[in-house]
Amino acid sequence: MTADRGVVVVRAAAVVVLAMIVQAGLVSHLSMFGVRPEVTLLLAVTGGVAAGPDRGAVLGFVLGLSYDLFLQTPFGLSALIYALLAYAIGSVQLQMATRRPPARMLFVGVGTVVGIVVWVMVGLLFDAVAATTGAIVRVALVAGVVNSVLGLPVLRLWAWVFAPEAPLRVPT
Amino acid sequence: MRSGRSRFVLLLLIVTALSLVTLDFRGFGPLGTVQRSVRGLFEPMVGVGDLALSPFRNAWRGVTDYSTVERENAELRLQIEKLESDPLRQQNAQQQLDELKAQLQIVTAANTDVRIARVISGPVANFENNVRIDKGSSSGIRPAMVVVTAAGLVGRVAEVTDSQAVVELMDSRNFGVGVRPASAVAPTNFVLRGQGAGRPLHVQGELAAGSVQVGDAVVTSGLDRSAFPPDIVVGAISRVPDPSGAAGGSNRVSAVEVTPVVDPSSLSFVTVLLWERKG
Repeated sequence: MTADRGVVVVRAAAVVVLAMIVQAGLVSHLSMFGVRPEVTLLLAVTGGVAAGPDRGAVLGFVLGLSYDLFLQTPFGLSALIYALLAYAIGSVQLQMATRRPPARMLFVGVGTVVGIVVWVMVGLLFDAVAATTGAIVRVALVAGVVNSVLGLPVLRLWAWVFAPEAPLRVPT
Repeated sequence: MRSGRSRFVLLLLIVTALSLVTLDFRGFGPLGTVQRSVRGLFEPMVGVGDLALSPFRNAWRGVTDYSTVERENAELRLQIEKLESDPLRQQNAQQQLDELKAQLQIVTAANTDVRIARVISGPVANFENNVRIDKGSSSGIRPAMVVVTAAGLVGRVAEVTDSQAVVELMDSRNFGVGVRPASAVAPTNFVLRGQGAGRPLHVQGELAAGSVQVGDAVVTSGLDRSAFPPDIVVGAISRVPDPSGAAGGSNRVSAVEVTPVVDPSSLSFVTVLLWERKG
């Protein structure tokens, strides 16, 4: 591992730990319209947008696995979905290669909505989640809007994380 | 070439995640131990973060929950007045009942060792239905122990670390508890199932028409090998469908609902019963 790669790994690990502290320490007390912020999903989606499909998938997996530690759902469920989601978002972003902020906000918002819906569907499949259609729609829409607004500053955070290495495949 | 490597990494991640899900479903012991250990490492950091972030959290709640707090305050004043109206008679009756049960050596929630715990947070994620408490295995708390308040049943311990525990709330999907109507003369036991956060519990199966009425209090039955000690208040019957509406004019009713007596959204302190199921 090169020194630059080492710095990136340390920075990424620090972001993951910070995300867990915020998700478990702050989010568990906050809600807007009965919806809790989806911090780890935001980081996974923006990780895919910022770092592309390869590194995004690994980031999504690590974020999801860390998140799974705190959840009652089957261990590995979030890791599976976040890895796939970050890979898909990264692939689409790579094809479009747009740097325009509104487009990136849209990516993050849509990615969040898809992530929540898929997570709940798979959770229902495992009989590990209880949710009404109304609740799923409400959570997906509110979290999608909130995450699209927070997406740009978080993309800058990922740009800082990956700065020591070669430029991102999709520049921020 | 790049695409092939990329797909290989993704495939590896998918296989790893699916393996973990499978192992978790099969109750693979070492995985649970690793989970608890890593979560135990996170807990002090989350605690510090929680403390540091509390001013932001309080400011946010002040902005978003002010009207709710005012309404709850008014409701609580009404409840206090109601509770203060007849305390001595209730106290005397309860004391007599507890003494009688102690003499008969009946194990109940009232004569079980307990731990008082503070609720430190709600669920970490959307679609979860639990609370975290500040006592864990170092205080003698084990998975499946029953959690109550003075009002009644809250849920049961789902996961434990050294210093914290996660309590699954009773309105969680698939939560089951054996109960009986508190005033039933003939033995009428049935099982309640949670339907999801904020929704009433459903009676599993059918009941004889007339065996329960709207407003009847429901308590844990505490039958042999039950996961709950007897006589813990669970809630009140809130809906009994009309049996005449059933096909064939049945004398049985289904889809009976019970509203929990404890509001999980307003929990501050809970009591963990250090009681474990027999056998």
